[in-house]
Amino acid sequence: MIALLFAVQSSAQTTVFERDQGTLKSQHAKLNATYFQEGYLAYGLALPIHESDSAQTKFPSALIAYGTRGIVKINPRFSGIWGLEYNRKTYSIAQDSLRNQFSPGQVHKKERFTWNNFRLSAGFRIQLNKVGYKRGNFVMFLADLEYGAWVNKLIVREDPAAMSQGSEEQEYRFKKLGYVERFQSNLSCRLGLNSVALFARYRMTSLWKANENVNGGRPYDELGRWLIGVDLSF
Amino acid sequence: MNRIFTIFCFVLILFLIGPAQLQAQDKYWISFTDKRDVKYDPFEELHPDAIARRQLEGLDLMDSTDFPVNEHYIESTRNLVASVSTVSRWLNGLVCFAHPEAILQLEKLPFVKEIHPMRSKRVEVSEVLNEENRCAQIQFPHQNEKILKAQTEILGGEEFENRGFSGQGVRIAVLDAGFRGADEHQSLKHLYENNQIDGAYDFVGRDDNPYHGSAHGTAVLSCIAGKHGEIPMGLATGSRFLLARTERNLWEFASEEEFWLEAAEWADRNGAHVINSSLGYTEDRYTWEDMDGQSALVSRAANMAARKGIMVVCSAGNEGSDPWQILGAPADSDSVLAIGGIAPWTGLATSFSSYGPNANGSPKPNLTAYGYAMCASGKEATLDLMPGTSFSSPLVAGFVACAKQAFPELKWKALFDKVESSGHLYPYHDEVHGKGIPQAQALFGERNFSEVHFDFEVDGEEIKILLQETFKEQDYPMNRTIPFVYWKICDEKGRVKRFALVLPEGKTGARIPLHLLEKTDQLVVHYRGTTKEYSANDKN
Repeated sequence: MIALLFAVQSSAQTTVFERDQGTLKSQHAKLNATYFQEGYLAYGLALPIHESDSAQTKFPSALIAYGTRGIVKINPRFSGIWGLEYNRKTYSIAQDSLRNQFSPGQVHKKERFTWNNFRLSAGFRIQLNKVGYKRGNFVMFLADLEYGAWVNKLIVREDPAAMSQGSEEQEYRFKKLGYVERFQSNLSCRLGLNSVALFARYRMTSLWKANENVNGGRPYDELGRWLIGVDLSF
Repeated sequence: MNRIFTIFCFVLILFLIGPAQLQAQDKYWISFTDKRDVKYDPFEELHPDAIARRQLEGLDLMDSTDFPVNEHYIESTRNLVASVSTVSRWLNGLVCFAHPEAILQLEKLPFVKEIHPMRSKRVEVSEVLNEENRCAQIQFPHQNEKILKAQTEILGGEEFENRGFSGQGVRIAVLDAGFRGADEHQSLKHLYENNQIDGAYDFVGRDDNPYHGSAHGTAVLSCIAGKHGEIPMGLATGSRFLLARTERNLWEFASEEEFWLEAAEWADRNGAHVINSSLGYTEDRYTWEDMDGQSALVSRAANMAARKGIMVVCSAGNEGSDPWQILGAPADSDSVLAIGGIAPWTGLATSFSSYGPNANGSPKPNLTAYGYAMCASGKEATLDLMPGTSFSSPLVAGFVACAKQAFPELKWKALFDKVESSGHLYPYHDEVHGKGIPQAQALFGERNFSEVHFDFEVDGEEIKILLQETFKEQDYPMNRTIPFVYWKICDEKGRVKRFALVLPEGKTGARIPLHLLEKTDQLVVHYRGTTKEYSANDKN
């Protein structure tokens, strides 16, 4: 921001022109420099695409993410990327007594898994139009590794016992789920216009692992692997 | 799942290959290893003034950068690529359009030293040209006549006139977007009547007629050498000229920098002493980090011109109020006099004048002149008040021509320093006013004002600048530079962190809050010829 002040009275003097060169740095930080870092906020929905035998998810199965990424320009068209993110993924499980694999034979009002993940990513960006100072249109590809620091399962169901106490439902929250795979890996693609981007993430790894005490020692069926959404950089 | 993953991979590959395919035939810079087996006779190829310039600089007349590019190398390349657009002796290379397969073949040739893609996107013509439209046709009221007189007076035009200097014997090459109407305009008539135009070439259309396209060059030329009746519009009315059109109108491929390079080589061969370029290249092709005076093709060309002893004068740019803010290429080069613009009615930098420093931290711009000037428009005798550093640059180019005439024995570096140190703020410098307005009197060891001293006094939380005179604003009419108090705070590396101009009041020049100074900072203050420093350590 240019601090150009005409006839500003201050301390009994007339400053006719003043400029803080630090503003230049902050202006340029927003531009397509050789290295720049940006924060971002992302929201995505889990696509209800399943393999034939997988569990059904329903709206709102979603991702909310906050993160930062650094962009290192290798040449005018090609940049390297690193990123660090915290995200929260929730999968709402469709209740179908025939297909429900997590609580066989039961139909709940809600059944939801939540992952609180820390995600490290690396990748590259290709500038599609402008090669100058504007960030312009780009496509970005990332591979990542994320760790589910807190994973839990929520069940809400009608509870006749609770009804007597004036409530119609009861919440149950399960933590330290022994059948959850905490390390996940994804591939993602962002298609961006300046600070707005559409993204798609594809999960490469399974959500569940085999546990002798659960589901007869067999991993549960997968939930949808695709997430699509929008992110805003700032 | 496998099918989905396959689709994902396919899309990914498509994205990777897509952009590359879109540019299947792109523009490349090819440089060669040597200039073996070429014939060159400087006395045949160079104008006598170009030879004299080299001799003055102590340059070898058989400098390989002047040799033509090996014809065999050019032909071998031409056979592999789609077309060759520019050949440069200075940089020993060429620009061509080629398919990637051809580039692979070129890489195998033993005489090819380096290949890199050029940024050949279509871009809009630089902003300076659009200013023509913004500039209203105005009549010639009293105020504009004042500006017309002041635009040369403020540079010490009278001093040059009294000493008989108007740039005679100096050849100025003007590289611009077109000179529509220049050969018919009343204010430039004397140049044609006295045969002061030594050459004209259109590097875009490849012919001898640059008198079409934009009239921007006409306006620029008038600020170097125009006359409105007996009133000079620029200082070099006696100089000789080379006119080169290096820009297209409307939309274009970004080949102007190549045209600029070609035109600079042409100007060199034809004995130019000064190049004026009111053109700049910024965000459409570069990041601000490229503005280091070494990266842009046009900056490298300007560096080479300076190496040949040519004074290159360029407009700083009109991006001061855009996000870009800093000057463009080739004004980013250390070897170029980058000229910022000030408003005639305030003496302050105009809001559009681009800021320094360059990406290396070198102080820029170097000097300033009026950023609103009376210029020849494209029509017969009309003069317009036009905004832009495009017009401050030619005003200083005229100044440089007079300095060159006055000190013909000075080598490039000495002349560059002499002109720069003639700035009315010298040795003070800030990142938009540079070293101030060049003063003819200063070239001859004089000043057109008496120095006024001042002292620092720490008063509570402020540093006071106490003047040894009582300032009266009414003493300074429009065509005299108001002696503001200029102050700046620099860090330990000398980089400017903050700068300001203050209108003095009585004997108090300025008050600067002490908290702005960190431990290792330096406060530098300038007032009417006196520059003093105050270290943050002094406050303890």
